[in-house]
Amino acid sequence: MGKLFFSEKNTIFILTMKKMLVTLCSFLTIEMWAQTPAAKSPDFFESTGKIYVVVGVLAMILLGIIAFLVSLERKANRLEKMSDWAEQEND
Amino acid sequence: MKQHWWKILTVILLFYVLIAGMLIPIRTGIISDAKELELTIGKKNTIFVQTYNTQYEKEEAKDIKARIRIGEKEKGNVKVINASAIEVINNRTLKVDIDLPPIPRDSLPAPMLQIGSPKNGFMFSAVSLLLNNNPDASITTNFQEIEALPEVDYLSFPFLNILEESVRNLYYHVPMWFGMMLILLISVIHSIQALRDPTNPVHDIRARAYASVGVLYGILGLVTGMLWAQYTWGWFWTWDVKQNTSAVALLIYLAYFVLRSSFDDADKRSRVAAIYNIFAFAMLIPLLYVIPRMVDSLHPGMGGNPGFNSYDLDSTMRLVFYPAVIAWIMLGIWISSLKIRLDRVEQKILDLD
Repeated sequence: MGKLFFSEKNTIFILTMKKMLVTLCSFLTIEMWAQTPAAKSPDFFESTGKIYVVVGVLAMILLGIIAFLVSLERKANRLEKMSDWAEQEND
Repeated sequence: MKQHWWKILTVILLFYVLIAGMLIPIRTGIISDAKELELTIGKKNTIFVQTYNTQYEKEEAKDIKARIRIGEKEKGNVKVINASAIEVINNRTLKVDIDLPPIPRDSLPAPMLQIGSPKNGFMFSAVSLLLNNNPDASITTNFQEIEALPEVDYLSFPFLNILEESVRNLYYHVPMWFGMMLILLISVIHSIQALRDPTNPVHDIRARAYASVGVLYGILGLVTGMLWAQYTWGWFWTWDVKQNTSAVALLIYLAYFVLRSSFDDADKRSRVAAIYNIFAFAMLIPLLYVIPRMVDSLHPGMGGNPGFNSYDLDSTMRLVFYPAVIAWIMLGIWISSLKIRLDRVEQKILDLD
Protein backbone atom coordinates (compact mmCIF):
# COMPACT_ATOMS: atom_id res chain seq x y z
CA MET A 1 0.00 0.00 0.00
CA GLY A 2 2.67 2.46 1.06
CA LYS A 3 4.77 1.53 -1.93
CA LEU A 4 1.87 2.16 -4.25
CA PHE A 5 1.26 5.64 -2.85
CA PHE A 6 4.80 6.92 -2.76
CA SER A 7 6.68 4.99 -5.43
CA GLU A 8 8.39 7.03 -8.11
CA LYS A 9 6.01 5.68 -10.75
CA ASN A 10 3.21 7.56 -9.11
CA THR A 11 4.64 11.05 -9.02
CA ILE A 12 1.47 12.62 -10.43
CA PHE A 13 -0.46 11.41 -7.42
CA ILE A 14 2.11 12.93 -5.06
CA LEU A 15 2.00 16.22 -6.95
CA THR A 16 -1.78 16.46 -6.75
CA MET A 17 -1.61 15.55 -3.05
CA LYS A 18 0.90 18.34 -2.49
CA LYS A 19 -1.26 20.82 -4.40
CA MET A 20 -4.30 19.87 -2.37
CA LEU A 21 -2.37 20.24 0.88
CA VAL A 22 -1.03 23.65 -0.10
CA THR A 23 -4.50 24.96 -1.02
CA LEU A 24 -5.96 23.50 2.18
CA CYS A 25 -3.24 25.12 4.26
CA SER A 26 -3.67 28.48 2.56
CA PHE A 27 -7.43 28.36 3.18
CA LEU A 28 -6.85 27.53 6.82
CA THR A 29 -4.33 30.32 7.37
CA ILE A 30 -6.55 32.87 5.66
CA GLU A 31 -9.51 31.80 7.80
CA MET A 32 -7.48 31.88 11.00
CA TRP A 33 -5.30 34.93 10.70
CA ALA A 34 -7.11 37.35 8.42
CA GLN A 35 -9.03 38.58 11.46
CA THR A 36 -7.77 41.76 13.10
CA PRO A 37 -8.57 42.66 16.72
CA ALA A 38 -10.45 45.77 15.52
CA ALA A 39 -13.01 43.67 13.61
CA LYS A 40 -15.68 42.94 16.19
CA SER A 41 -18.29 41.20 14.04
CA PRO A 42 -18.44 37.51 14.95
CA ASP A 43 -16.88 35.35 12.25
CA PHE A 44 -17.22 31.64 11.63
CA PHE A 45 -14.75 30.67 14.38
CA GLU A 46 -16.56 32.82 16.94
CA SER A 47 -20.02 31.47 16.14
CA THR A 48 -21.73 28.90 18.39
CA GLY A 49 -19.72 29.81 21.46
CA LYS A 50 -16.31 29.54 19.70
CA ILE A 51 -16.66 25.77 19.31
CA TYR A 52 -14.90 25.99 15.94
CA VAL A 53 -11.73 27.14 17.72
CA VAL A 54 -11.72 23.69 19.36
CA VAL A 55 -12.41 22.04 15.99
CA GLY A 56 -9.53 24.04 14.47
CA VAL A 57 -7.19 23.01 17.29
CA LEU A 58 -8.10 19.34 16.81
CA ALA A 59 -7.62 19.63 13.05
CA MET A 60 -4.17 21.17 13.56
CA ILE A 61 -3.10 18.38 15.92
CA LEU A 62 -4.38 15.72 13.51
CA LEU A 63 -2.63 17.38 10.56
CA GLY A 64 0.63 17.65 12.52
CA ILE A 65 0.59 14.02 13.63
CA ILE A 66 -0.37 12.81 10.14
CA ALA A 67 2.46 14.85 8.61
CA PHE A 68 4.86 13.16 11.02
CA LEU A 69 3.46 9.72 10.14
CA VAL A 70 3.82 10.46 6.41
CA SER A 71 7.50 11.30 6.99
CA LEU A 72 7.87 7.95 8.79
CA GLU A 73 6.19 6.17 5.89
CA ARG A 74 8.59 7.74 3.41
CA LYS A 75 11.48 6.57 5.56
CA ALA A 76 9.98 3.04 5.57
CA ASN A 77 9.75 3.15 1.76
CA ARG A 78 13.38 4.21 1.53
CA LEU A 79 14.45 1.41 3.86
CA GLU A 80 12.47 -1.16 1.84
CA LYS A 81 14.30 -0.04 -1.27
CA MET A 82 17.65 -0.14 0.50
CA SER A 83 17.03 -3.68 1.76
CA ASP A 84 16.05 -4.74 -1.78
CA TRP A 85 19.37 -3.40 -3.09
CA ALA A 86 21.26 -5.13 -0.29
CA GLU A 87 19.56 -8.43 -1.22
CA GLN A 88 20.42 -8.02 -4.92
CA GLU A 89 24.04 -7.30 -4.04
CA ASN A 90 24.19 -10.46 -1.92
CA ASP A 91 22.84 -12.52 -4.83
CA MET B 1 -0.48 -9.07 21.31
CA LYS B 2 0.15 -8.96 25.05
CA GLN B 3 2.74 -6.20 24.91
CA HIS B 4 0.37 -4.02 22.87
CA TRP B 5 -2.21 -3.53 25.63
CA TRP B 6 -1.10 0.06 26.21
CA LYS B 7 -1.76 0.95 22.57
CA ILE B 8 -5.33 -0.33 22.91
CA LEU B 9 -5.60 1.71 26.10
CA THR B 10 -4.31 4.78 24.23
CA VAL B 11 -6.99 4.39 21.55
CA ILE B 12 -9.74 3.89 24.15
CA LEU B 13 -8.58 6.92 26.15
CA LEU B 14 -8.33 9.10 23.03
CA PHE B 15 -11.87 8.14 22.05
CA TYR B 16 -13.08 8.89 25.57
CA VAL B 17 -11.32 12.27 25.54
CA LEU B 18 -12.77 13.18 22.13
CA ILE B 19 -16.31 12.11 22.97
CA ALA B 20 -16.50 13.37 26.56
CA GLY B 21 -14.45 16.48 25.81
CA MET B 22 -16.67 17.51 22.91
CA LEU B 23 -20.11 16.35 24.09
CA ILE B 24 -20.38 17.26 27.79
CA PRO B 25 -22.25 20.60 27.75
CA ILE B 26 -20.98 23.90 29.10
CA ARG B 27 -22.95 25.20 32.08
CA THR B 28 -25.25 28.16 31.67
CA GLY B 29 -23.63 31.55 32.13
CA ILE B 30 -23.84 35.29 31.51
CA ILE B 31 -22.23 36.47 28.25
CA SER B 32 -22.75 40.19 28.91
CA ASP B 33 -19.62 41.68 30.46
CA ALA B 34 -19.35 44.32 33.16
CA LYS B 35 -19.34 47.11 30.55
CA GLU B 36 -22.68 45.95 29.16
CA LEU B 37 -24.18 45.52 32.65
CA GLU B 38 -24.18 49.15 33.77
CA LEU B 39 -26.13 50.16 36.85
CA THR B 40 -26.54 53.74 38.07
CA ILE B 41 -26.59 54.45 41.78
CA GLY B 42 -29.80 56.14 42.95
CA LYS B 43 -31.81 55.11 39.92
CA LYS B 44 -34.34 52.52 38.76
CA ASN B 45 -32.17 50.51 36.41
CA THR B 46 -33.21 48.17 33.61
CA ILE B 47 -30.55 45.86 32.20
CA PHE B 48 -30.71 43.27 29.46
CA VAL B 49 -28.72 40.18 30.34
CA GLN B 50 -27.47 37.93 27.54
CA THR B 51 -27.03 34.37 28.75
CA TYR B 52 -25.38 31.27 27.29
CA ASN B 53 -26.89 27.79 26.89
CA THR B 54 -30.13 28.75 28.67
CA GLN B 55 -33.67 27.80 27.66
CA TYR B 56 -35.74 30.47 29.41
CA GLU B 57 -39.47 30.40 28.84
CA LYS B 58 -41.93 33.26 29.35
CA GLU B 59 -43.90 31.49 32.09
CA GLU B 60 -40.65 30.69 33.94
CA ALA B 61 -40.09 34.38 34.85
CA LYS B 62 -41.73 34.05 38.28
CA ASP B 63 -39.27 31.28 39.28
CA ILE B 64 -36.15 33.21 38.22
CA LYS B 65 -34.39 35.14 40.94
CA ALA B 66 -31.91 37.90 40.23
CA ARG B 67 -30.01 40.16 42.59
CA ILE B 68 -26.99 42.34 43.05
CA ARG B 69 -24.64 40.86 45.64
CA ILE B 70 -22.48 43.33 47.52
CA GLY B 71 -19.50 42.83 49.78
CA GLU B 72 -16.99 40.07 50.37
CA LYS B 73 -17.47 36.85 52.23
CA GLU B 74 -14.14 37.18 54.09
CA LYS B 75 -15.14 40.59 55.46
CA GLY B 76 -18.59 39.31 56.42
CA ASN B 77 -20.38 42.29 54.86
CA VAL B 78 -22.35 40.44 52.22
CA LYS B 79 -25.73 41.96 51.40
CA VAL B 80 -28.03 41.69 48.42
CA ILE B 81 -30.42 43.93 46.51
CA ASN B 82 -33.07 41.80 44.86
CA ALA B 83 -34.39 42.63 41.41
CA SER B 84 -37.77 44.34 41.46
CA ALA B 85 -38.92 42.69 38.21
CA ILE B 86 -37.67 40.04 35.81
CA GLU B 87 -38.96 39.44 32.31
CA VAL B 88 -37.98 36.76 29.80
CA ILE B 89 -37.32 38.40 26.42
CA ASN B 90 -36.25 35.22 24.67
CA ASN B 91 -34.65 31.96 25.72
CA ARG B 92 -31.25 33.63 26.01
CA THR B 93 -32.14 37.16 27.15
CA LEU B 94 -33.51 38.43 30.46
CA LYS B 95 -34.76 41.93 31.26
CA VAL B 96 -33.93 42.70 34.88
CA ASP B 97 -35.10 45.75 36.84
CA ILE B 98 -32.94 46.70 39.82
CA ASP B 99 -33.37 49.78 41.98
CA LEU B 100 -30.16 51.08 43.51
CA PRO B 101 -30.59 53.42 46.52
CA PRO B 102 -28.89 56.85 46.53
CA ILE B 103 -25.97 55.93 48.77
CA PRO B 104 -22.20 56.52 48.42
CA ARG B 105 -20.28 54.29 45.98
CA ASP B 106 -18.11 53.04 48.89
CA SER B 107 -21.08 51.34 50.52
CA LEU B 108 -21.51 49.12 47.44
CA PRO B 109 -18.21 47.17 47.34
CA ALA B 110 -17.57 44.33 44.83
CA PRO B 111 -21.00 44.40 43.13
CA MET B 112 -21.98 41.24 41.30
CA LEU B 113 -25.08 40.20 39.37
CA GLN B 114 -26.38 36.77 40.34
CA ILE B 115 -29.20 34.94 38.61
CA GLY B 116 -30.68 31.62 39.63
CA SER B 117 -33.49 29.55 38.22
CA PRO B 118 -34.64 26.01 39.02
CA LYS B 119 -34.54 25.06 35.33
CA ASN B 120 -31.52 26.94 34.00
CA GLY B 121 -29.26 27.01 37.02
CA PHE B 122 -27.13 29.60 38.75
CA MET B 123 -24.85 32.14 37.03
CA PHE B 124 -23.10 35.37 37.89
CA SER B 125 -21.20 38.25 36.34
CA ALA B 126 -19.42 41.39 37.48
CA VAL B 127 -21.32 44.68 36.90
CA SER B 128 -20.15 48.27 36.67
CA LEU B 129 -21.67 51.02 38.81
CA LEU B 130 -22.17 54.57 37.53
CA LEU B 131 -22.51 57.65 39.71
CA ASN B 132 -25.61 59.81 39.42
CA ASN B 133 -25.73 63.59 39.81
CA ASN B 134 -29.50 63.62 40.32
CA PRO B 135 -30.18 60.62 42.55
CA ASP B 136 -33.77 59.52 42.96
CA ALA B 137 -34.40 60.06 46.66
CA SER B 138 -37.61 58.05 46.58
CA ILE B 139 -35.67 54.77 46.38
CA THR B 140 -35.23 53.49 49.92
CA THR B 141 -32.22 51.46 51.04
CA ASN B 142 -33.43 48.01 50.12
CA PHE B 143 -30.65 45.68 51.31
CA GLN B 144 -31.71 42.16 52.10
CA GLU B 145 -30.03 39.21 53.76
CA ILE B 146 -28.44 36.69 51.41
CA GLU B 147 -30.38 33.51 50.74
CA ALA B 148 -29.60 30.56 48.52
CA LEU B 149 -30.53 30.89 44.85
CA PRO B 150 -31.92 27.93 42.94
CA GLU B 151 -29.21 25.81 41.31
CA VAL B 152 -29.18 22.89 38.91
CA ASP B 153 -26.46 20.27 39.16
CA TYR B 154 -25.66 18.22 36.08
CA LEU B 155 -22.60 16.84 34.31
CA SER B 156 -21.14 19.95 32.71
CA PHE B 157 -18.03 22.04 32.24
CA PRO B 158 -17.91 25.50 33.82
CA PHE B 159 -18.87 28.53 31.77
CA LEU B 160 -16.12 31.13 31.49
CA ASN B 161 -16.83 34.38 29.73
CA ILE B 162 -14.81 34.98 26.52
CA LEU B 163 -13.60 31.35 26.58
CA GLU B 164 -17.12 29.84 26.22
CA GLU B 165 -16.87 26.52 24.33
CA SER B 166 -13.15 26.96 23.68
CA VAL B 167 -12.54 25.89 27.29
CA ARG B 168 -12.53 22.39 25.77
CA ASN B 169 -9.12 23.16 24.30
CA LEU B 170 -7.80 22.22 27.73
CA TYR B 171 -7.98 18.58 26.59
CA TYR B 172 -6.11 19.16 23.33
CA HIS B 173 -3.81 22.16 23.68
CA VAL B 174 -2.54 21.69 27.25
CA PRO B 175 -1.66 17.94 26.95
CA MET B 176 0.60 18.84 24.02
CA TRP B 177 2.84 20.75 26.47
CA PHE B 178 2.62 18.04 29.13
CA GLY B 179 3.48 15.50 26.43
CA MET B 180 6.36 17.60 25.10
CA MET B 181 7.87 17.93 28.56
CA LEU B 182 7.67 14.22 29.38
CA ILE B 183 8.86 13.04 25.96
CA LEU B 184 11.79 15.45 26.04
CA LEU B 185 12.61 14.18 29.52
CA ILE B 186 12.69 10.61 28.14
CA SER B 187 14.91 11.90 25.34
CA VAL B 188 17.40 13.48 27.72
CA ILE B 189 17.53 10.29 29.81
CA HIS B 190 18.53 8.37 26.67
CA SER B 191 21.10 11.04 25.88
CA ILE B 192 22.68 10.54 29.30
CA GLN B 193 22.71 6.79 28.65
CA ALA B 194 24.35 7.44 25.27
CA LEU B 195 27.15 9.27 27.06
CA ARG B 196 27.57 6.49 29.62
CA ASP B 197 27.49 3.73 27.01
CA PRO B 198 28.93 5.21 23.80
CA THR B 199 29.43 1.83 22.08
CA ASN B 200 25.69 1.16 21.78
CA PRO B 201 24.13 3.37 19.06
CA VAL B 202 20.56 2.56 20.19
CA HIS B 203 20.60 5.20 22.95
CA ASP B 204 21.36 7.94 20.44
CA ILE B 205 18.65 6.67 18.10
CA ARG B 206 16.13 6.71 20.95
CA ALA B 207 17.16 10.15 22.15
CA ARG B 208 16.73 11.57 18.65
CA ALA B 209 13.35 9.92 18.03
CA TYR B 210 11.92 11.13 21.34
CA ALA B 211 13.31 14.62 20.75
CA SER B 212 11.65 14.82 17.32
CA VAL B 213 8.24 13.78 18.69
CA GLY B 214 8.72 16.14 21.64
CA VAL B 215 9.38 19.01 19.25
CA LEU B 216 6.37 17.99 17.13
CA TYR B 217 4.22 18.22 20.26
CA GLY B 218 5.78 21.56 21.15
CA ILE B 219 5.06 22.98 17.70
CA LEU B 220 1.48 21.68 17.87
CA GLY B 221 1.12 23.23 21.33
CA LEU B 222 2.37 26.54 19.99
CA VAL B 223 0.18 26.71 16.86
CA THR B 224 -2.95 25.51 18.69
CA GLY B 225 -2.21 28.12 21.34
CA MET B 226 -1.94 30.75 18.61
CA LEU B 227 -5.36 29.85 17.22
CA TRP B 228 -6.84 29.89 20.71
CA ALA B 229 -5.20 33.25 21.46
CA GLN B 230 -6.64 34.72 18.25
CA TYR B 231 -10.17 34.22 19.52
CA THR B 232 -9.68 34.86 23.24
CA TRP B 233 -6.84 37.37 23.50
CA GLY B 234 -7.71 39.05 20.19
CA TRP B 235 -4.47 38.38 18.30
CA PHE B 236 -2.58 35.18 17.57
CA TRP B 237 0.79 36.46 18.76
CA THR B 238 0.63 39.02 21.55
CA TRP B 239 4.33 38.68 22.49
CA ASP B 240 3.09 37.18 25.70
CA VAL B 241 5.95 35.92 27.87
CA LYS B 242 4.74 32.32 27.65
CA GLN B 243 4.49 32.43 23.87
CA ASN B 244 7.97 33.94 23.62
CA THR B 245 9.73 31.58 25.98
CA SER B 246 8.13 28.48 24.49
CA ALA B 247 9.07 29.65 20.98
CA VAL B 248 12.68 30.16 22.14
CA ALA B 249 12.68 26.71 23.74
CA LEU B 250 11.49 25.16 20.47
CA LEU B 251 14.18 27.03 18.51
CA ILE B 252 16.82 25.64 20.89
CA TYR B 253 15.51 22.15 20.17
CA LEU B 254 15.40 22.76 16.42
CA ALA B 255 19.09 23.65 16.67
CA TYR B 256 19.60 20.15 18.11
CA PHE B 257 18.58 18.64 14.75
CA VAL B 258 20.67 21.14 12.79
CA LEU B 259 23.65 20.24 14.99
CA ARG B 260 23.10 16.53 14.38
CA SER B 261 22.98 16.93 10.62
CA SER B 262 26.28 18.82 10.60
CA PHE B 263 28.32 15.77 11.73
CA ASP B 264 29.35 12.95 9.43
CA ASP B 265 31.06 10.86 12.07
CA ALA B 266 28.42 8.86 14.00
CA ASP B 267 30.39 8.63 17.26
CA LYS B 268 31.11 12.32 17.37
CA ARG B 269 27.53 13.14 16.43
CA SER B 270 26.15 10.93 19.16
CA ARG B 271 28.40 12.49 21.80
CA VAL B 272 27.93 16.14 20.86
CA ALA B 273 24.18 15.72 20.32
CA ALA B 274 23.80 14.06 23.72
CA ILE B 275 25.61 16.92 25.46
CA TYR B 276 23.59 19.51 23.53
CA ASN B 277 20.36 17.69 24.41
CA ILE B 278 21.19 17.86 28.12
CA PHE B 279 21.86 21.61 27.85
CA ALA B 280 18.69 22.14 25.81
CA PHE B 281 16.62 20.35 28.42
CA ALA B 282 18.29 22.34 31.17
CA MET B 283 17.30 25.52 29.29
CA LEU B 284 13.66 24.38 29.13
CA ILE B 285 13.29 24.68 32.90
CA PRO B 286 14.05 28.41 33.22
CA LEU B 287 12.28 29.14 29.93
CA LEU B 288 9.03 27.33 30.72
CA TYR B 289 8.94 27.26 34.51
CA VAL B 290 10.96 30.16 35.94
CA ILE B 291 10.68 33.21 33.66
CA PRO B 292 6.89 32.93 33.13
CA ARG B 293 6.39 33.05 36.90
CA MET B 294 8.18 36.39 37.18
CA VAL B 295 6.29 38.33 34.50
CA ASP B 296 2.63 39.20 34.03
CA SER B 297 0.89 37.27 31.31
CA LEU B 298 -2.49 36.77 29.72
CA HIS B 299 -2.00 33.02 29.99
CA PRO B 300 -3.79 31.30 32.91
CA GLY B 301 -1.79 30.56 36.04
CA MET B 302 -0.34 34.06 36.27
CA GLY B 303 2.24 34.39 39.02
CA GLY B 304 1.89 30.73 39.92
CA ASN B 305 2.04 27.58 37.88
CA PRO B 306 2.76 28.65 34.29
CA GLY B 307 0.21 26.24 32.78
CA PHE B 308 -2.86 27.01 34.83
CA ASN B 309 -3.82 27.31 38.44
CA SER B 310 -4.76 23.89 39.81
CA TYR B 311 -7.62 25.50 41.72
CA ASP B 312 -9.08 26.70 38.43
CA LEU B 313 -9.74 23.16 37.35
CA ASP B 314 -13.31 22.03 37.86
CA SER B 315 -13.90 18.48 39.09
CA THR B 316 -15.75 17.50 35.88
CA MET B 317 -12.88 18.88 33.82
CA ARG B 318 -10.41 16.74 35.77
CA LEU B 319 -12.40 13.66 34.72
CA VAL B 320 -11.48 14.40 31.11
CA PHE B 321 -8.22 16.32 31.54
CA TYR B 322 -6.14 13.65 33.30
CA PRO B 323 -7.09 10.87 30.82
CA ALA B 324 -6.36 13.38 28.03
CA VAL B 325 -2.84 13.99 29.32
CA ILE B 326 -2.18 10.24 29.63
CA ALA B 327 -3.66 9.49 26.20
CA TRP B 328 -1.70 12.17 24.31
CA ILE B 329 1.56 11.23 26.08
CA MET B 330 1.06 7.54 25.24
CA LEU B 331 0.27 8.42 21.63
CA GLY B 332 3.54 10.38 21.49
CA ILE B 333 5.49 7.43 22.90
CA TRP B 334 3.78 5.12 20.39
CA ILE B 335 4.80 7.33 17.45
CA SER B 336 8.33 7.61 18.86
CA SER B 337 8.58 3.81 19.09
CA LEU B 338 7.71 3.55 15.37
CA LYS B 339 10.45 6.04 14.55
CA ILE B 340 12.94 4.19 16.76
CA ARG B 341 12.21 0.89 15.00
CA LEU B 342 12.66 2.41 11.56
CA ASP B 343 15.87 4.18 12.61
CA ARG B 344 17.27 0.94 14.02
CA VAL B 345 16.53 -0.91 10.77
CA GLU B 346 18.26 1.92 8.90
CA GLN B 347 21.26 1.63 11.21
CA LYS B 348 21.45 -2.12 10.57
CA ILE B 349 21.25 -1.72 6.78
CA LEU B 350 23.94 1.00 6.87
CA ASP B 351 26.16 -1.24 9.03
CA LEU B 352 25.79 -4.08 6.48
CA ASP B 353 27.15 -1.95 3.63
